[in-house]
Amino acid sequence: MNQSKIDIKEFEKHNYFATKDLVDVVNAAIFLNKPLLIEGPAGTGKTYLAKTLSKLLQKELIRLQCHEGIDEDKAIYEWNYKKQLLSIQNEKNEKDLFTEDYLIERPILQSIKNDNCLFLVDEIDRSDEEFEALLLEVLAENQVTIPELGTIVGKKNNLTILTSNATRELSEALRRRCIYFYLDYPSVEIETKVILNNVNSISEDKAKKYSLFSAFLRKLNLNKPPSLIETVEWVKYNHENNYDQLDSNIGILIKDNEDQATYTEKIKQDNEFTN
Amino acid sequence: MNLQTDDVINFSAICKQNNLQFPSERFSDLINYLNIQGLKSVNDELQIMYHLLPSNKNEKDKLKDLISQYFGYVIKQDRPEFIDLDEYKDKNYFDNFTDDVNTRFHNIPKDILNNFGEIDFSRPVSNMYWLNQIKKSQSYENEISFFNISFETELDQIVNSQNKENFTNNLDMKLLELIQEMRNQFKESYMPNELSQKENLEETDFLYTNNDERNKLLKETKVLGMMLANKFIKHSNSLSKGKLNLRKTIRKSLQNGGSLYSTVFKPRVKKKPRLILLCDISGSMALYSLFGLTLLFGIVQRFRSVKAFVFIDGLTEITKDLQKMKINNIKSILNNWNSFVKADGHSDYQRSFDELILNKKIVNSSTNSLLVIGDARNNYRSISQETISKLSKSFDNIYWMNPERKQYWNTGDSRFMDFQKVCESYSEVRNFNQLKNFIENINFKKVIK
Repeated sequence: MNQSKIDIKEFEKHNYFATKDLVDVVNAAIFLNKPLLIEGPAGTGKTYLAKTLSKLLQKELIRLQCHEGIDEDKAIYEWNYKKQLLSIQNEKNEKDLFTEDYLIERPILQSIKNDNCLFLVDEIDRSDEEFEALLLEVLAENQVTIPELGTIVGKKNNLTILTSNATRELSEALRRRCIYFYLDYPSVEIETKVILNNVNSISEDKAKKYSLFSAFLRKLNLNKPPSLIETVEWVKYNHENNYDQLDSNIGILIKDNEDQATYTEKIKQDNEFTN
Repeated sequence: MNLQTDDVINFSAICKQNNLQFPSERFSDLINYLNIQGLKSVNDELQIMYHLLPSNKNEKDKLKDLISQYFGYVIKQDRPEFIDLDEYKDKNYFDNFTDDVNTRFHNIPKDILNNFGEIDFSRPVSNMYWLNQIKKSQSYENEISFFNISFETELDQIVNSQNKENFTNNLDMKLLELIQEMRNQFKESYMPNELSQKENLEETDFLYTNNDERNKLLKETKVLGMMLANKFIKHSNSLSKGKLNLRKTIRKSLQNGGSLYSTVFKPRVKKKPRLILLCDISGSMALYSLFGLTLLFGIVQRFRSVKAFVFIDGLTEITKDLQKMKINNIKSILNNWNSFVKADGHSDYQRSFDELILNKKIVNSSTNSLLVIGDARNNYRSISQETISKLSKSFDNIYWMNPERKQYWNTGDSRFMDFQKVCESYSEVRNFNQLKNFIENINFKKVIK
């Protein structure tokens, strides 16, 4: 494992702008060889962090997207019944049917067998509670038990990242095994950097103004506050095509009918008030 | 490591005293990590401790307080930035907004306080009162007037108003700190309970929350609703596995050329278990019905086969409305109050429950659970024993949240006693913690008929 510390600048080289706290926590997770649980609202760069880390540490990214009803068959492994059936019927001779030839590897098993990978469990809060229990063995012992084959133990240098939108409370057992970080909406400083990086020919001054503006949007008590990527796309489109009005193309920024109404009203109010 | 291991161990004991328990392996991990890191200052190490120990947001907030109490170090947080605009006359003004000792900002609150004159701490008013008085003073307005310029573009306009807001927030915090400092000097001369800080928001009565606090709590209430729905889904899944369904099993085996690989079971309970939610929105419920409705909203969002009702003097189903609704609009249900009135607009539990029990579409032979949010104040109308016994027969589990203080239950026109007998569990729910505890303790009982 790469025991040297990751520097904040290395993140920035890969176009990810992190706070010092986040970098510290990532370093701790690598050092302690523990999974990292990242919680926070949608669109703050949780999944992107995993992608960046996989590039930065030169590890293969294996992703497990959780959803309601995900189970062992979809996450760990499955026996290829049809292939087994065919092989019995064709060859007639007795053969061990439970070998790796007949095993379909799903993301968890893939990650354990891989020497150098970053395993991302995305949106764990969407899965059922039973599924969390399945993960515990992998997270704590870094191993998977297949009754027919025995226990497969993974290499030590894999990093696991779990992300959650906190729509439900994760179990204590899962939390205990992880290092926790709450990734909130970015600060003005970070958002400015992201805008500068993504929008062509924008001045630093203007980027700062836009990021303060998006901080203002998130305070508006909207049904769905704009995420980082939405603000950046909006600024990018408006700036590069010379739209000056704040209410132009808000479809990129705010994706809710009522929110759009609140937003335009609020901007009008602000202007009337100060003029 | 600059922190002594003893310090860390002592600190862990203090955490325990404050109901904040971390597994011991976490402490050993922390010490390991700090030893290798070789950080320069204790503060950096505390910053890492703040990130490594907790496992959820709640714990993080608590730990932050404890660190500042025990080690006297305030965890760094993002400070809102001030953005320089071309129109500002004093170009260097914004360089001064940090509160280091040498900058101008450090002196602004003191100047304002000095200009305000003497504060009479013997008066039984809070620090906030004095802050509001100070905000009306000329010198405070002079400082703020810096921002009263008009701008050409909308963007600049909003940036300016945000700058102003951040500046005033910062200033107000500083002023409050100074007022508290001054007040501490006069500690002996007045009642000590005035010194006590505002209690924890989660312990605050819903009635006494301000707008921002309420919005924050409402969002968390929605999450609690989703948690309860998850619980019920789990309960309903546990009832699902019954006898082998032979026809479906054979049909499925055709996929594998007739070999039986997977089995299909009939549900053990023929009809799906139902969860019925009732929320009293009569006048006596005041703000609590808003929290009740938000909880219902959270449940409905997560779990579709649930029925939600509001009642005053008759039932109205609002499941569909809640499904289409967004969290900010829940108030609109209360604004349409008059459309839910069936008779005289005074709450009538007898009539509402009769309507519920007699409705065969809602109450059927399957296992039903009922959650009621109401104060059981029946305006001196009677409640027949028959209704209550029918109610307990129709529902396997009845849960009741009463927003009234416990000492007022069963006084005046409250008929809570009648319902208490048939409830699986009931509790006083006036603040967020009570709500959370109640939801956490709900255990849907398995009843198989």
